[in-house]
Amino acid sequence: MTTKRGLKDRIADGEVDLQLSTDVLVIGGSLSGLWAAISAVQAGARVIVAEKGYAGTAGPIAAGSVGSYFIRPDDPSHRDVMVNARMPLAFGLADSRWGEIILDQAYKNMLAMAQWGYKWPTTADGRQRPGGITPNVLIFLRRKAEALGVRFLDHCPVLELLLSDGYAAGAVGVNRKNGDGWSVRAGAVIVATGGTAFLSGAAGTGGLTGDGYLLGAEAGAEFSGMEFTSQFHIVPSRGALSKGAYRGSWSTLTDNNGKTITLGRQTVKAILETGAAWDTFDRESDPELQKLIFSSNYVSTQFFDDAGIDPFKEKYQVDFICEGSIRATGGLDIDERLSTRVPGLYASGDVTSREKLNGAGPPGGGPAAAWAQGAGYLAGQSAAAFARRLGSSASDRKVEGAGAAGLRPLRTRRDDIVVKDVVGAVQEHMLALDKNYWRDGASLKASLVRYGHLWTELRDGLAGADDADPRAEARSVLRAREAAALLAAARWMNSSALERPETRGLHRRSDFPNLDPNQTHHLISGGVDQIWVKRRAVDPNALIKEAAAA
Amino acid sequence: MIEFLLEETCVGCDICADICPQDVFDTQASGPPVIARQEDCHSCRQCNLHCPVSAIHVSLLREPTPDLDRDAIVASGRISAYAEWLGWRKGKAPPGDKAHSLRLRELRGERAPDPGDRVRRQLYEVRDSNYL
Ligand SMILES: Cc1cc2nc3c(=O)[nH]c(=O)nc-3n(C[C@H](O)[C@H](O)[C@H](O)COP(=O)(O)OP(=O)(O)OC[C@H]3O[C@@H](n4cnc5c(N)ncnc54)[C@H](O)[C@@H]3O)c2cc1C
Ligand code: SF4
Ligand code: SF4
Repeated sequence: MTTKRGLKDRIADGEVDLQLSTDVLVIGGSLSGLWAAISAVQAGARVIVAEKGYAGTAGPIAAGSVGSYFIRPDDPSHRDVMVNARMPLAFGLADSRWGEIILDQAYKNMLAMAQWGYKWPTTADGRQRPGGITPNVLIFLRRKAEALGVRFLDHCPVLELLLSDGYAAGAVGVNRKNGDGWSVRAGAVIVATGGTAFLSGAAGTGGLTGDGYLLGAEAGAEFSGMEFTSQFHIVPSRGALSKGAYRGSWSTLTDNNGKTITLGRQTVKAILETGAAWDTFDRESDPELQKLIFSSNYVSTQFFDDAGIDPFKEKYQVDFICEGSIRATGGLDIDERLSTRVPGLYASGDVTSREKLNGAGPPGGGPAAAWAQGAGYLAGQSAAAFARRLGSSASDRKVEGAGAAGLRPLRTRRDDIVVKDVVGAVQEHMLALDKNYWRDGASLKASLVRYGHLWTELRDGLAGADDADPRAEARSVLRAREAAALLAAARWMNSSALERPETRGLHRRSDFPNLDPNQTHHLISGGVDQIWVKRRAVDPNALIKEAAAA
Repeated sequence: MIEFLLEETCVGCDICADICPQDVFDTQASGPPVIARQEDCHSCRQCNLHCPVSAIHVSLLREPTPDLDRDAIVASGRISAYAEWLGWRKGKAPPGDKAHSLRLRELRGERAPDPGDRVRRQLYEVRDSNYL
């Protein structure tokens, strides 16, 4: 038996076990990645999807179900309201032209699914209602992509991008099932790795460690709106699924003193100031309708079966759990072709900045899933066109791995830098309601000092450990890289948050609780070892329509 | 959180291990897969959906439940309740959606949003246009 050299060394030297080439490589195979792959293959490109988990079961949608905006372009009043009604929530940072482009594309995607045989919900009178993105949708799209010729690398997390003269030229990763390394040479790369909840425990978010941010930044891509990433959501205490729709006009939230409160800031205040918040379904007394409420929402209400709670009879405690940049707004800065500033590097879905659609506000509750679909499709088209222009010689280019932190330490690997401690340090700030839901200058500064030191240490000495078991080694290599990605994400977010001394949309500052009209600008950030943040004026050509007043 | 895998029911197809996005299972040369890294489970319930014989129980709790009554969960049908709710049969997804939220809205009606909430009110007023 020959002993192979350590996985990290083999990756560093490009001596991986599986070497492939393609036109378009998609990183991440959830809603946005699947649509990007389908669109690129339909545009004539050869496509490979590399997914950390399994494409079709990975990501938060596979754990729950989400509602996507579905807007009929042929109904002007519908379209006008859907695009413009949320504009006040965008706080001056959105561009309604984007709303129309993205939402029209998402409409086409969902219509295409119906043509391919997907049965959207049908009303009693026989009308179809697209928009419910369930686990069934993801599996359906995966099978469709396979049928169209997309090749899937499941359990194959990307560890680093390959660059050729500044162009994105592929990626390298590991296979978690056998511990092998792999590489894909590509004419164009699409990052669709989602956001990150900093491993808060929210269902379906265990693979979302912000890897795509680090992949992008190492290649030279920039971010926009990283301060708009403070998304927290209601979840039953002890519960995993942070989906709110199981609550409705039948439920009442109270603080720890029994005072009725509303969902959102008041809930957070109740938790921080009175010690707890509680919910109960006391506004529906009809037993038949109670049953219907429970069964209609079983995606969420399974929790009550598991916890042995009857929410119609008793109150149960609720938390606000960190979803971070998932269904938030900040992310990789992209242009109208979904291109980052790195040639050949495209991005779509939660990993990108969705300010163009939703400004400072949360795009969750409809727009996020529409963005994942629409932007995914457009990114697939752009990437296919880019790869076509490069031609087939693209895979002969001389390439270099761009990955550094957590993968290629500057000095010798140190055993005493423990992944769990790095993640713990990140979580201590990012999961805390009094630090990250309500931010303040002092704690942001303190976190950045601490994270700066931690980054230097990690940069010098963090890497996965060698292991006789190749799968264990692959896990260790992946975990080290994920820890670096989480820390890097926290640094871009907190650096941006510090540079916005006001409260706007998904960015809340307890030391600056009001909106400051003079800060109606974007914050662009970037850098890996040295992080920078700068202002960018709102595009003077942006269409910022205020919805007509009441 | 994945709670248990019924070894006596399992047919050893290894599908759960193939599709688990968090790599929680280890397969064995023969016999059922092992829940090797329960702490990595992120409660997605995909193994529960994909198992052709409903041999896996996943709760919606963030931590495992001690002293769980497996027999009661199987006997009450809870082990397959979520899969049935989504319309899965024998580990296979239906090409569609069971429209639970539409039914709820049709039967119970929907409370109009607070008139002061301009955004919700506008969205509420056009929601009927969402149908084809
Ligand atoms: C509880 C909850 C409820 C929500 N409800 C709504 C709603 O009602 N309406 C709405 O519009 N939006 C909602 N959202 C948001 C919506 O789920 C996201 O916008 C959507 O999932 C984004 O899709 P995506 O494909 O961009 O990213 P994701 O779905 O996050 O997928 C990213 C994929 O990338 C993979 N990946 C990560 N790193 C790597 C790597 N290094 N290599 C390879 N692959 C990698 C992951 O495994 C994952 O499969 C909700 C989110 C949550 C958590
Ligand atoms: S619930 Fe999801 S993460 Fe947990 S074991 Fe099953 S498939 Fe894996
Ligand atoms: S999917 Fe079900 S039957 Fe197949 S190996 Fe897993 S537990 Fe056993």
